[in-house]
Amino acid sequence: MARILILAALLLPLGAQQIDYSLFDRLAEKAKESAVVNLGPEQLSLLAGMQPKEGGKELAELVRTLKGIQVRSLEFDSPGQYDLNEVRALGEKIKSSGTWVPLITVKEKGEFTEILIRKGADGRSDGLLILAAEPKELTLVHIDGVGDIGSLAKLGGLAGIPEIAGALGESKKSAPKKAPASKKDDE
Amino acid sequence: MNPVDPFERQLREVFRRVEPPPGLEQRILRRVRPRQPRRLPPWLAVAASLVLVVGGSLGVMRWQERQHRQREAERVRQQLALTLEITSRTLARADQRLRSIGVERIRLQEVSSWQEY
Repeated sequence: MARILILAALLLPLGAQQIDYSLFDRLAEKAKESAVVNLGPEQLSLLAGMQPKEGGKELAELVRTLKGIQVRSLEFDSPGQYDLNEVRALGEKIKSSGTWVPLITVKEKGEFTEILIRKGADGRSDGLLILAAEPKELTLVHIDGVGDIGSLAKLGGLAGIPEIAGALGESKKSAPKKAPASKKDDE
Repeated sequence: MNPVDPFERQLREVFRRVEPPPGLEQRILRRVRPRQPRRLPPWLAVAASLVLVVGGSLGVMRWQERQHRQREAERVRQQLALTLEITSRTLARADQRLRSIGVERIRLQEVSSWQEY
């Protein structure tokens, strides 16, 4: 019995870090369009070996920090194809693990967007999760190894990868600088 | 009867048939006939063929592997591009909503650790 409890305790942190995509997999059958991305460290390492003419070295260095990418994006014909409460419950489950911290939450009637960051063992952020629920679109982006949008934005423009422009006032050229103050500002 | 003319006697001696030395015919024929090419020992021919086949196969396999890796890398690049496209679109919509409620700009400051919050 003691062995079973120890095993369960060892597995708990693993379970906490896993994100359950079954809701998206189930809703994909109803969606008009769906996009799925599953990239692991081995596949991402192939990008590090690419030698595009521009920014090859920079791309390799940035891609080395990525450990995994999972994306589920669903587009529906009409509103009401999914239960928003189920999506909210998924967001709460992710946050309840204790490793994901909400950075920005935007809520409106019938939709919400949440951006979460995962804190690593060393105290630095090492994961980014975006959960967006709209009447006709449902999106989850989980990027492991990147803790801020600025780092992700650096990938844009390299090897034909599009830039993240105009997102939350940031762009590749105007990435936030390290500030001596520790508080986050909302203007 | 006339005595044999010394000149004629000399001529007859010169043109007297002389038997060729033994083996002369073979020597001449050998020089005239083209030399037969030297044949490689069978084992050497087999070994050379094996080396060519194995080396060629390895080369083809490596080339195919490299092509496969390049195709995979391109597929990964496309998926990464799709990820950033979806991320950009989602963040842009969040940005739009924030602006609609009067938040003009959110500046994210990088901090060295969570303890600084």
